[in-house]
Amino acid sequence: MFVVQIPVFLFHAADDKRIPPEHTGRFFFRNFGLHPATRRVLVASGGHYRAMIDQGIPKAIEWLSTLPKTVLPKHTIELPGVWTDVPPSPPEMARISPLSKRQAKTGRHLVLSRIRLPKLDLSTAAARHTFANAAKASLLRGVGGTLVKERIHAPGDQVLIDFVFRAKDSRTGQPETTIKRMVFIPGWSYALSVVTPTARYNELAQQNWASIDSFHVKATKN
Amino acid sequence: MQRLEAGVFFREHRLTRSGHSMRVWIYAPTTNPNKAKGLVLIAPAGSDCLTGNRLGKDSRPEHLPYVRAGYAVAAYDLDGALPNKATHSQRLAAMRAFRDAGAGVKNARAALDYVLKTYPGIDRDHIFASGHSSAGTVALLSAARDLRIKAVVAFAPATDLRAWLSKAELADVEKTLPGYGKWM
Repeated sequence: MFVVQIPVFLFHAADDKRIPPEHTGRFFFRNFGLHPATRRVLVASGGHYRAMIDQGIPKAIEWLSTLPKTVLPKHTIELPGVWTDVPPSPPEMARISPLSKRQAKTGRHLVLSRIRLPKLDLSTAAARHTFANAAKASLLRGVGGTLVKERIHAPGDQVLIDFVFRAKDSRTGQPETTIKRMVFIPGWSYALSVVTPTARYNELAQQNWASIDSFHVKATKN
Repeated sequence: MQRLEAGVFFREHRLTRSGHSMRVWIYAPTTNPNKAKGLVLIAPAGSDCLTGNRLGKDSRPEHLPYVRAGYAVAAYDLDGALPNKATHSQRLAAMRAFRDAGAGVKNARAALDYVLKTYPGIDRDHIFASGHSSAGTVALLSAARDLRIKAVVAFAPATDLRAWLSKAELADVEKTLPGYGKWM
């Protein structure tokens, strides 16, 4: 069974004899937490077809209209590298190191890391584990900080890594937790960069703030 | 575009993907699909998940509500449709064609490529996939594979084919087309 990391609306009637509702049940369980907007609606009756026409489609249209732009992945995900927000988990501390002189020279658009992921057969658990750890190590080197909490999922032929940053908000000074999800696909290279003035970045780093304005991921096929 | 009812316009397009002809039905709330709220991709339901299917007028009740709600709809044929009273060899060919189309994923991709090329003003931040039953499975698979799709709606999809088919059916599938069971 596969997973889908974008918002998913699943609908089933409990009296569906053709495809039992366990199909959406198991799928929902497998995908639970992958996206906060994912929903499963189970109705009591209506069977395999009428339930969709009478109840399912109206509910789906309502669900689509309630999806705010913030939960939909950005237009740029035509390239297979994307950050998406995921639900918060208990706060953890992360440190962001000052940039090196070489990094600082690159100017406003700072390329923190270039990650080249080889093509691998991810059909075995051992291969997925190796690949996930290689991707994580590359990314941690690139960010230059110590990320104390991460979760790795390796469904199918891609690897998802969630990172937790605990940082002060640069405007309010209040602590905040930011969680991001990175999707890696073997056979692509990723240039991980951050857009912020160099001086501002180093100032924030000295205060142990991880208030980076935005991450950008440029993906190119190897 | 042809007017089907108030606020529902329709046009059929034909394209060729890897030598296979496929149709894409475009619906929009106005004559200009670029002005719709977003785009919903829908494959035809009613297959056994081992073969594809073609659009028919009985697909329309699933398409029209989205158009009435302001979305454009792109409904598309799946490779590997079975003809009426299919012979064994026709079923074999259909299963092969459906497998070669990535269980419909390549059809979805071709339809989306075509629609975005034809109607470049469509809101790319609001591209969704939807489907019922076997087409719900196609919608989920397409969304997992095509990063242009931003959200997916699946009505009563089969998400575990091995669990859904009986052992006898699985054995029959494997006997008919060796390796197919593993591909599933």
